Amino acid sequence: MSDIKIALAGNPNSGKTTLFNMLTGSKQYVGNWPGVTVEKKEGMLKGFDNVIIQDLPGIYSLSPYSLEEVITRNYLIDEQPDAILNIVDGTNIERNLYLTTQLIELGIPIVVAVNMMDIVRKTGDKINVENLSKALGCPVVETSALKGDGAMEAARRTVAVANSGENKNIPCHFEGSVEHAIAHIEESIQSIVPKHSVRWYAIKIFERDEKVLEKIKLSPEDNKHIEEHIVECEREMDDDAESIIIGQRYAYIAKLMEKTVKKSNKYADGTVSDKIDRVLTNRVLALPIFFAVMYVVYKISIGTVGDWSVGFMEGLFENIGEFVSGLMEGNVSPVLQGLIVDGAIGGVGSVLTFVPQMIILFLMLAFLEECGYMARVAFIMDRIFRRFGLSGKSFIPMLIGSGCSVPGIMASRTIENERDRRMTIMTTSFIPCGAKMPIVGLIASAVFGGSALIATSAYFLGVAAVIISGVILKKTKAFAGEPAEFVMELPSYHWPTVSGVLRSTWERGWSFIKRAGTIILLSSIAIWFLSSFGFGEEGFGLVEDMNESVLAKLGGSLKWIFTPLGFGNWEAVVATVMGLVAKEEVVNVFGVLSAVGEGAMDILEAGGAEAIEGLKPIGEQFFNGSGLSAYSFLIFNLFCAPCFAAIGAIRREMNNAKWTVGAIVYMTVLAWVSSFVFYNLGLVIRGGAFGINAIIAIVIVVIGAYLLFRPNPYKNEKISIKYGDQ
Amino acid sequence: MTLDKVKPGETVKVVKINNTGAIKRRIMDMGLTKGVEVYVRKVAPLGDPMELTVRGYELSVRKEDAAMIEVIQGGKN
Amino acid sequence: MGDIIVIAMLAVATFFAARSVIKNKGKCSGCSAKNSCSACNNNKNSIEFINKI
Repeated sequence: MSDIKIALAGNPNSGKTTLFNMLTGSKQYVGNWPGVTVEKKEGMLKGFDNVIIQDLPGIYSLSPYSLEEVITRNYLIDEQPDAILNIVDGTNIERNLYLTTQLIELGIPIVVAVNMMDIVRKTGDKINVENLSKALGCPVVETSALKGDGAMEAARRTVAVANSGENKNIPCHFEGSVEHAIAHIEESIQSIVPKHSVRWYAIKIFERDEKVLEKIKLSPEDNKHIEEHIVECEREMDDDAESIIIGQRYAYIAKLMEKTVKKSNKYADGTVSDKIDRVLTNRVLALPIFFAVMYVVYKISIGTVGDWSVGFMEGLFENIGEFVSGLMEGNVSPVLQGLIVDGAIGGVGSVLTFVPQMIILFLMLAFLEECGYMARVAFIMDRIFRRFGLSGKSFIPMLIGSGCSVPGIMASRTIENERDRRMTIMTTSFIPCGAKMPIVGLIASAVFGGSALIATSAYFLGVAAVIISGVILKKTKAFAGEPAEFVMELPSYHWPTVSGVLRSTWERGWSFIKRAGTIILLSSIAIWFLSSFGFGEEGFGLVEDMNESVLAKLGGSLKWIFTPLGFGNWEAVVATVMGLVAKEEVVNVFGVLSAVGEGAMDILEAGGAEAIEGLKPIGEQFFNGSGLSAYSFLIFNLFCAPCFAAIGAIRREMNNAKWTVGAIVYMTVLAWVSSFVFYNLGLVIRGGAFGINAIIAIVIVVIGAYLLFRPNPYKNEKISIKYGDQ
Repeated sequence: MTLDKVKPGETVKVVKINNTGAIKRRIMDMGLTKGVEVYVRKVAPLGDPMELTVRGYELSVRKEDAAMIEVIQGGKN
Repeated sequence: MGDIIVIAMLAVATFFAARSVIKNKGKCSGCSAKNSCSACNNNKNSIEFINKI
């Protein structure tokens, strides 16, 4: 028996992903969409050995304008899955059924799963599943993805309809004259399209869907004949064909709703979600609340948790280091011991030290994401973001970017307007990602006594960089024009599921740990070698003084670039350059080098109960304990070119070499200039001499201010806004 | 009257959408079609965008897009 | 003797680490650890403009 393919389709936010995970368990795999190099998710249905479930993008409609929608319908038409499982959000059934009516027209056997039934019941609404099933002509199943009810039942019904191939195909009916035109179109195309999809094609042709017209080459006579009917219809309804169809589809659903859904007025004066919303998006309180939330998130993760966890983790790796040294003592040569203890354990340990803080940070961000607050933030921030040439939607990539810039940059795809999207791609990596947080944590602990303000300031520095870039870039020719439209669904607030929050936290946390064991381990070893060997007096070999090592020579050769920024020592240079491999490398490099320089034990012994003491030597060794140098180093590393993986993502999303190079150069220049201004003006404020650097810094500030505040020279130049698949 | 001029707390009815192509389709796909009742819930803290209730869910639209939607007073309050 | 054991263990660790790094080149941190992550899956499916590649 051959495999049965089931496609999972539905609106965004309908609980599709939860259901997919539930139905497939761990048996998921990632492949490519046919024809396009984009990954798709498939999984085997639990309890069946021949049923493949294909997760489709969350969409609102099957319009020809957004590429996600085009891909979905191409998949459904060309790949012909055996059945569709359509997930419908029961709490928002009217708009969700709009997609359902379009899916039914495809003529593929379909089952509708009315999801979130637990919430529907709680609000007292009643959905008459039987009537709905009769009206739609397909099985309708109640599910609750959160509680797990009905999911398997829905899957079993879908397998059943796939096997029987049954689709009564009772699509939504339009008004007489529209049906009349569609009937004529059906007549002309029935020989060229698959029989069961005739109606879908006919409606699309009625809508003058370019993608479909391209595919079905109608003869000129047919075309003329059909066009006459459409025009007549349009004249009668005084609207364009596409709008007629949409309008009547919704009218049909409204009628369907009367027969099947009974809204209770239990929450007429506002649901809990409304009440929460009234506070969180309050005119006066919204912004202060947002800033307070971000402060608390960083205060708890980097400050409170960081305080004890740094000490604890240091102690842990101290013990591991001691234990391993004890094992090797006498059996293993000192050089190898150094490699293992100073290199591998010192380096990997320095990165893993930050795991508890990261887990807490990810946990809180996951909570905020899941409960629906972040969509509200996009709503609140849209006005601000738009002034800076971005859209409220840019906030979402940046939010995801606080975990890892790569998916953040990828998430910019949801922004339809090309210019907004490019701007978002360029600025997303300014928001400190998970891997940059250890740098922040290191600097905060090693130089500033674990102050939570450092972490919070890092976040707001990121936001400031986004805003400043937005204003400056918006006024350049490449970004001229007005931002695009902003139409976004605001999902209701809901209590996040424990499993959802834990899953997302675990994913991010685990990825961090795994990278410590792979890429960080490798480079720890490499850095240990490079910093322990060099060309000494007796030629190449182990060097006593690390300053004579190969690494010191390499780093030293680039020192001049960073000297004006206040951290012109080769160690900081190496750390910064290694940051291109992965941002945790910055911490790793300091970990290995400090261990080699002073002996791992010296540093680790200082750890233990005295949380911050353990990292202090790093601050002393590499920044002379100077807060100014350390913070300047932090600024540079937050803004400069991201890691290779993120650069790769930028290249893929920009899909243009010039834009990619431009983005990377812009980030690095901004990083250098910001650090330079901060450090040199900081020196002057501290009472240092007013030298040439300070003058240059002031000139830069003036130029920056000019770029920020000059009138936009391209203000009235409208560019054509492109959508979807340009 | 256009939708952007409607005050929070009012309910109006959509009469016409003065737009074409992708934007019009997107707005209509989200349920803002001729004859539908729209309740203006609120305006964002900084004056834009606005939050609407349409077909039982919440939708956020910028004022400049709302300006393309013609409405009349009506519907129950 | 100890040297050889340590070197062997190190070689094995390096081998697996290197293999994983090469295999996951260019992936996001989540995907390189688990082959797929929810952040990417939510927008992997979002295919805007990739067809140009």
